[in-house]
Amino acid sequence: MEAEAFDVAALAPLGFVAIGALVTLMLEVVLSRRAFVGEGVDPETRLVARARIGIVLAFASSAAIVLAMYAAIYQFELGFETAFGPGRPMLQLDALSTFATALIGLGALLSVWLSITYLPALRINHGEYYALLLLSTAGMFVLVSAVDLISLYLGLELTSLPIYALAGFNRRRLRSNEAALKYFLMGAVASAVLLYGMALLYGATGHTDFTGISQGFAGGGGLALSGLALVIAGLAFKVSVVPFHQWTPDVYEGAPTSVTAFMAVTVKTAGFVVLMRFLVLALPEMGEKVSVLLGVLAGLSMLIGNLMAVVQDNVKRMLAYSAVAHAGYLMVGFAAGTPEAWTAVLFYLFVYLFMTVGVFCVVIALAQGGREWDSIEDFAGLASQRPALAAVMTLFLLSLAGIPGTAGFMAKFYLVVAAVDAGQIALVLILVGTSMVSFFYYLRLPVVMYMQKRRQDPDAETSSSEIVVLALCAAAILYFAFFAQADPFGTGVRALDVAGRAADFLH
Amino acid sequence: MLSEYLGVLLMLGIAVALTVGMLLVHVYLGPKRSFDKKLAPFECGEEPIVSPRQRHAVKFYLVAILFVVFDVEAVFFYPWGATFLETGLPGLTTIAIFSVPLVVGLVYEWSKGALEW
Repeated sequence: MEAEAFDVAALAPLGFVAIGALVTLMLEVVLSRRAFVGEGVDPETRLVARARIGIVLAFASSAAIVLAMYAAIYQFELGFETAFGPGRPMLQLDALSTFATALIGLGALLSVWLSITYLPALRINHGEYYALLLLSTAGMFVLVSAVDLISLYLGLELTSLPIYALAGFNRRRLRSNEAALKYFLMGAVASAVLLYGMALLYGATGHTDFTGISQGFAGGGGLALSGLALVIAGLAFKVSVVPFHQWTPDVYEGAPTSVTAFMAVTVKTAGFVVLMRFLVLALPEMGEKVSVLLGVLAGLSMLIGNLMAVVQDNVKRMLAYSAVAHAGYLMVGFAAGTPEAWTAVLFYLFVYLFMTVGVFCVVIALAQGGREWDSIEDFAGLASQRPALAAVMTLFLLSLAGIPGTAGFMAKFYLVVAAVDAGQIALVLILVGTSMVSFFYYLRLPVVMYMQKRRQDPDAETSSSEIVVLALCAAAILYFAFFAQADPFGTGVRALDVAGRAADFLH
Repeated sequence: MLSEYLGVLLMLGIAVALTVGMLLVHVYLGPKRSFDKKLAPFECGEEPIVSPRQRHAVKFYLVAILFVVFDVEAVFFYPWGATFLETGLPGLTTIAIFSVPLVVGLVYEWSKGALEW
């Protein structure tokens, strides 16, 4: 057996987060042993020590993620292109995977910062948190560069398993347990469906790598088509597209909010990127049929997501349905399937990250006294007490709704343009129509915040880490609202061009 | 190509039909006379003294789960051991990289007290 040349530098992002996960895991053990030596440590001291350890761990994991992001951005700048695998490519490192890696890294980094004060506030400051988060991030790095069904499955499981545990991280809260169990059971079924689809695809085409499948697919055939449908269903579960969305509201609501933010942005990014790569590489010929299938999923997601969000009383639940709706918007780009549409999808994912982390950060900033303040009434009169928080919340919601002057509008705009160019008029009409509906529930919160009296009087303050996240997200939303295609500071980087380069992985 | 599997399918069909058929024959033709003694739970002629549904200590599951990790590890170690001379240094490096997370996991569970009974 010939030893293959192994380009370690190319795997640097993956290596950094994986090593980071192991280091944080060990660090927690070592530090808590030192802090809790001897019997009779009173609970108060223990709590303080835990909070300190949590900060150290957050710094360690931030460092790992920042290094990974730096490596990914560097690779992107270089225009890195490399494939790995024994005999045939398993992982493909190119503009798309490095772009997605950096994006997922950013989502993970912001989630880590969200957790610093949130975990102690909910008294769930256990050390495994950061290690699990990093492991899941590593899984997503595998996922976004997967060009083979085997590595796709490996990445998907490495992504999902830590998140199942994270969703139930608030062990004493029944809802959190329910979320974890539900997510795990449904995720396991989705995995099984995905595997079944993979088996059928392999049976029909004789290949597990995406390009091989595309060659074997030429004849079409029922077996290959059913395999394809099952694989799409399995991936659609992860990105919560109707009709595979049922887990979303329960899990988003039950999971600790920092975990919700993490999975809302990163899993969605990873899932859509791998779906994009799979569709483009494995099915270059299948245009019409697949785009109808994806179009139906998109339409259903937009309709059901937006309509169900209207009747929710819990903000996290409402945001879960809004996540379903946004998955639907993104699927419109998939149904269009042109290079412009892929660019728009990637730009949308980029903008979506800031909006989503932002809103969940506001929910986190309200949490105190060991519980979340996440029902709509809890937001009543927030503007009079914490005006800045209410203002940024309004900005994030307007951006999610897609009001001009926010980045959310630009993201939707590019998506609509690409879809119209591709002739997906019906889907665009649904998109615009359901966006109108979405104004109702997005604007309900500002109404409650600005026009009602404060009922509860929590004395919580926005912590400095939360202020950093909120400021970053708000700044990004305002910046990309006006400069998505421009470069006012002469950095030579235009967001849309970057997304375009990432989407250009085909050619 | 699929016709090769026809035999298997037939076999499967016959097996299912036979099993279900015999069960059904028993249900419909067998005499049923039930009385208290017959319906009572039976355990080697003794009256059962405790409920058969008992809780097990969670430690059993923990040990089982921890075992699985090292079980899988062994599965990967065997082929490496069998091809040690061929894979040489790269093989050794790879298996070392593979072992590190496992060792970290072991140290972690040890210091967390998961191995204390």
